[in-house]
Amino acid sequence: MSAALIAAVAALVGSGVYLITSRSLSRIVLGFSLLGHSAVLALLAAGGSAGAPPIVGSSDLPSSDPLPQAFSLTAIVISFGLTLFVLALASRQRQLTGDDLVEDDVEDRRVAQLSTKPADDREGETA
Amino acid sequence: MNAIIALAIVGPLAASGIGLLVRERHHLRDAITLMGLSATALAAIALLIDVQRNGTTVVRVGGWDPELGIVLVADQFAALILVVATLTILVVDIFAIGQRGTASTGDQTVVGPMLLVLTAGVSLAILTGDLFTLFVAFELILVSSYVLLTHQGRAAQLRSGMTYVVINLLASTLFLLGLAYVYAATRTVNIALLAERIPELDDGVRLGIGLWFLVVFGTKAAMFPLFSWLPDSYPTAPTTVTAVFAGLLTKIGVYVMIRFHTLTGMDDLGPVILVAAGLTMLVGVAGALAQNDVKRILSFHVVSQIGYMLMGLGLFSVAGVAGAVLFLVHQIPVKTVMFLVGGLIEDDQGNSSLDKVGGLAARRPIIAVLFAIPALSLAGIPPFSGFVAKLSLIDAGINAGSVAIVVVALVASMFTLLSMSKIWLGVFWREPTPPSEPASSKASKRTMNGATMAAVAGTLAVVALAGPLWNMSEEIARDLLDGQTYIDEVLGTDRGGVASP
Amino acid sequence: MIDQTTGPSPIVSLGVRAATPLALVIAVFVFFAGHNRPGGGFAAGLLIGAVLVLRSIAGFPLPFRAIPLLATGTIIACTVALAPMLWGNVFLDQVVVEQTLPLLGKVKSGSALVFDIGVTLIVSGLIVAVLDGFRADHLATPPPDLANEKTNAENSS
Repeated sequence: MSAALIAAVAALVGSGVYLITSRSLSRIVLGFSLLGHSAVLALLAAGGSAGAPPIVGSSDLPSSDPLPQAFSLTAIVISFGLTLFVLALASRQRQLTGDDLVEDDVEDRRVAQLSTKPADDREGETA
Repeated sequence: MNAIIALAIVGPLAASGIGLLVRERHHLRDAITLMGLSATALAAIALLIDVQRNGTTVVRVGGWDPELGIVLVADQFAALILVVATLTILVVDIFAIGQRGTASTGDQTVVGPMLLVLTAGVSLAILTGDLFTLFVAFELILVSSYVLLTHQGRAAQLRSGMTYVVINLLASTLFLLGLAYVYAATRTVNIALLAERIPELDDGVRLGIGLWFLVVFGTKAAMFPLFSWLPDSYPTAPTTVTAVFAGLLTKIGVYVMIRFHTLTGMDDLGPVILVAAGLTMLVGVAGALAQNDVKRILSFHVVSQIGYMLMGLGLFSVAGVAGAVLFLVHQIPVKTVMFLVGGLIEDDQGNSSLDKVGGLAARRPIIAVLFAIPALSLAGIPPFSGFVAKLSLIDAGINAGSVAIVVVALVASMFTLLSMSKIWLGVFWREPTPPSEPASSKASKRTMNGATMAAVAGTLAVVALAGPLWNMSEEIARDLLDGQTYIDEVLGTDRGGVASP
Repeated sequence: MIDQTTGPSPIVSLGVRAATPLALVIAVFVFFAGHNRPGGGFAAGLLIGAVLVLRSIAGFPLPFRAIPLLATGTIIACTVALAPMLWGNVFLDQVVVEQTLPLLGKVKSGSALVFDIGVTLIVSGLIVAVLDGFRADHLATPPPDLANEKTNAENSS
């Protein structure tokens, strides 16, 4: 395992987690991209030393481990889809509230809402 | 049997595609959804019968070797939980179809197809034999649950949905990082191979892996202290969605935890799990007591009940794990039915806040009965299913000499009863309140009542079958704790000494 | 991205129009290359998606709806996954066909190719769905102080 890869994973996780704790959804999305990359790098590091492309008959040299690469590809695809979903949520949030911030004191606001509104399901009418 | 295993996973997925194509034509879409879910449930039942008769079935997807490829394993544990899970989703879908007649629902065209995707994910998570496919299954479940949670697009749902999405995405990333560590340490992600190789690792690495996955699965299962996303996000979702989530999603987390931590021999983590279990029970039930809305109270109970299953796992004895398995089987229908009743209350009153609802026992006695049975079961009153499951756990705890956790479990049970009586007093007694306007149609009410009754009947069936279920749970627990049976079944007994690289 | 007053720049619009067929040819190449070399359904889907994103930025309407693409892709992929079992083979197994065709010479292909078509459809459908979502958002800009809920009618799924 390469120390540089490990250091990169650590740096990516650090900055990713920092961004996730932020209040703005666009930063959270960026944080997730970084975390996704860190996971892919960790998988690559777990695959051991690099080698020839793991395609049968492409080279005489010992090939690298194909499994972590398959994992990484799947993980990239999934994080691609999820990033898009979070972006769409952020855009919807902006549409509804005018910004993309996750609001404060969710609990308090809910309890306050419960006393003034008949029900969740009819919020549309009371708003 | 191979065909049936594949059908249980790909069938609902294909049905969801067809359902999406015809999503504007309501009756056709509902019919396809129902057919897809029934077919999956039937496949699960056939699988359980077959596994009972002929033992575990293993499918090597694409014909690859377990070292490289994906295996699907239908053993007793998987088949049993699969039956309970698919039947539960089927009942909830019938309820959802009934609910369509009510005024308070948004765009329902995606609910059916997304429930099907969820079913596919749940089947895959239950049947998979390797950790990476488990990750994919979790993502499948989560993606569909994100959509189900936020499909009405209301601000409250988006806000709480964000918490849910962010926490679960973080858990998924941790899962991937954990996979990297496991792969680096053992060169495999196949659970059977892991069951062979993890016990041979150094203590530090082994416990590190165990703790890491305890956090990952614990977040999915809403274990203390990783539960706070659950009571925040569940109550805002539409009833049917909450019912599926509460009944299934956290339980899938517990299911994989039971499977992974027993097979890989993480007995050393027992005390940690027990402490987390006790705190989960207490904090969950304390949170429930503080709430004033039926759906919020029930959401905290989801957390609290997770503690009991973790307690069984933490004991790492045959009786304990068997108790956890039985509790899992009892909990899936009970939790679902409670949320469905919450939905019925909300449907009748337009509301589920204890302050504004009252007198339902006189006006809608059916709802009262449908609530009372699972509520007593949840609190663990004999002769309902909760009693059987809790008794086995308490018994296992006493036998293992862990008195502290037994006391905590009993105290939490009493508080559960207290909180159930709070709902009873608030919703079913006092002066009757007027029903909401506009009321649902007769047919719609009938369908919803029918679905809830079917689910209640399911919880009663757990009691009626308590004897055979307990025997099965014990057998499952013995196999899980032993591990060798599972390893032999998946890898085959005749492999001439596969050397670990 | 579109300046509502002047419309898209003619350079962008012309460039995108010229690039579209080229990119699609590459997408087709990547799709077929994926059988034995790097490429495949996912990459081809992404290329098609990239074309759609470019066209959408340049102000062209989207040629497809998202849901039918996603649904058809899912159905195709599932069918191919289950089909081998009809002949008693393993789940997700594949059949490889080899044939000598006029002009093309020896062609080797298999049922995995059909599965890849499903994947391509799903990936490009996903991108169309996202573009749909963002574009709807862009056109329907709400008044800034409408901070509360809207009706359930306009769901972005």
